[in-house]
Amino acid sequence: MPTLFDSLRGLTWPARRRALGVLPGTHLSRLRGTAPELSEYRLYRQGDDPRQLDWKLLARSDRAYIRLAEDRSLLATWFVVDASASMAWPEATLAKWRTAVALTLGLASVALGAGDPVGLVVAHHSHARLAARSRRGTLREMVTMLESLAPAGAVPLAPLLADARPGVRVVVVSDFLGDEAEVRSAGRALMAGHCDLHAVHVVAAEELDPPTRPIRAVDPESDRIARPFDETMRTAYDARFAEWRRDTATAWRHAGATWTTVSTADDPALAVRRIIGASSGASVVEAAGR
Amino acid sequence: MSFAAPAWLAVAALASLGVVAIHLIAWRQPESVSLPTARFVPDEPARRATRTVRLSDLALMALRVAIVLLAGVGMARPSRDRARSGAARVIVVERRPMRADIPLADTIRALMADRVVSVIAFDTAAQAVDVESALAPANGAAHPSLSSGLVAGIREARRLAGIHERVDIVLASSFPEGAFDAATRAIRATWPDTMRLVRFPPAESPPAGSVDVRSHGDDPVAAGIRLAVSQGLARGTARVLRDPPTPDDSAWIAPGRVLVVWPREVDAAATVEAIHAPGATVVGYFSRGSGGDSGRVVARWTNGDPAAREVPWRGSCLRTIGFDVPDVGDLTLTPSFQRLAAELVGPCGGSWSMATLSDSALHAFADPPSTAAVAVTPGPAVNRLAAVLVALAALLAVAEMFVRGARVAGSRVAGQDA
Repeated sequence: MPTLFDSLRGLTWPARRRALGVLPGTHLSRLRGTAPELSEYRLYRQGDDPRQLDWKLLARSDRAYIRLAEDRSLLATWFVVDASASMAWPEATLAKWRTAVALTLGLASVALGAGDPVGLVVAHHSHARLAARSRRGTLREMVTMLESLAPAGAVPLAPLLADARPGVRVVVVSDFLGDEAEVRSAGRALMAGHCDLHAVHVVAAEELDPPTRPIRAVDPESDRIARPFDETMRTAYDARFAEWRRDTATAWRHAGATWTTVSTADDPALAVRRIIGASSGASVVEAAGR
Repeated sequence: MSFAAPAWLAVAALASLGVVAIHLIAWRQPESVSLPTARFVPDEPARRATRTVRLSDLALMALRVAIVLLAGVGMARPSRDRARSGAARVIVVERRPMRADIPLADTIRALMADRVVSVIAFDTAAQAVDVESALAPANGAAHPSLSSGLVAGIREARRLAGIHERVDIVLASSFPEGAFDAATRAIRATWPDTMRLVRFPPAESPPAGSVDVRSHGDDPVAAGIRLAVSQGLARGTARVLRDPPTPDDSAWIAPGRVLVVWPREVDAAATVEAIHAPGATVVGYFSRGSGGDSGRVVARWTNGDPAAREVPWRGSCLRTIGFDVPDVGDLTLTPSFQRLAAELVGPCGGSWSMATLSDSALHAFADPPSTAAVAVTPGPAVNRLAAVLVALAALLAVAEMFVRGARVAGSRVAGQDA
């Protein structure tokens, strides 16, 4: 983990939208204030701060204009992490969970590096939650909390998104094999509340390339889904899974969120850069190999 | 190797083929593997034919086939008997105090032709001997016991029946009534086949009593013994010592001679008592003495105490009499006392009937027993090899449970590793 943080040091994660926050930060704010960086002049209106009048322009033009500058503010970032049973896979390595944790902590370290407060809520029966803070030790607290959890059960993600305040950045880290539609709907509501929504889809390499021997595939979150699976079904499985990933990504992007697919075989540091790059307006890059 | 129930071999063979077929073609449940994206697997029927036909779980299949074959072979009751062939004969010969006459010897030797023969010689005990020893005179031969001869002969015949296809028994004896006891017919009934009987003349009866009574003075016992001898009641050769024995008396003992120590208890008080011996009971005045501490009881008081004992000595016997009669009275002249005296001075082992069985009785003895008699014949011994094989099959069946359980657990772990 320290290697991950070291490789992400100095990275910035700009917000896709103007932040609503009032505390000074690094993100462009919706508010125009007294920052030294001039952005535009506006005719003086009753009620404006007279200290913002450009007296030189008044002298030249006999018209009162006030100087508007770009304000920058903090952008709180909330991580909603899926810790359901489907994330505890493969059962021997827990690669999906470990990748989700690495991505969460990597993004959190970038956000904290910019001074943004970072909070965490885990979809787990323990209802693990960490309030948004930017103090020293926040990252260590996140590491301790996530390392102590074992993914299990099937706690829905959508209710957790409803807790986010307007104007924050929300990052959903999940495999989206649970209540994906509800999460997307809740995310759409967040977007309407000026939130910046990012969806990080974690997929295991073994899900993209399952074993070829005949097995009876059982969904870990639903025993009712148990189907024979052998190499004759491989093509159909690949097509259906790929179609789902494609449709889901399209739906999330239409909702206004970014969608980044990260495989357990990908390097977490590079994946974090891709996620950040997606939020900067670059096109979404699928996980390599699919 | 032979099998008592070979049909089980066929059953075992068919069952093992069935086990192999099940492992080849039976529907198998694939291992369950956790897969979060299982919903994307096309929902098709669980049963499907595999493209390749291959043996699965070879070890488990081999174990199951071994169980079936071991159980089948065990149920077939194998035995490692050698193939039986040929004929055998057991000749049970009564020992005689004189050499067998020529016709008897020729008969015995003729019975030995063209087959394997075992010869058993018997009197009170039986042992396997060669034919010449059986025909030779047996010094000191005791009274024959057909029961002992038959037990040894039937046992030998059963042993030979395991090797030879046909076995018969020949019983050569004078068949005196005294040789039959309560167990003789029951023992005969254990052999389900006809017995060939060879009757030969009985051994010469012991001569009329040659009893030497060493006494002095007026001795009513000596008089009674001599009277019994004269009337032919006493048989055999005996020396009765009414006086203390001498070394010469000890040296006199030999096979066929009985030494009777009958001390005179002149000082002992006589009381009315009763003494019983086989064939004789006497009531009268008797004075008790010491009748010896060990040996066969020849006569008893009415309260069961031994009155006279006999111990074997130097091929014959020494008899000690523990009572005396008063000098007065005529008790010793009574027939009952004379019969008692004849028993007390008679041959070793006591007297017994030398009369031979009638022909009809002998014929019935030779015939095979009725069904009821055959039923008492003990069944065949437990087939240990079959028991071992079935027990081994049971052990393998327990092992198969563990192997099958390990397979299931292994498939679960494999699913976790997927």
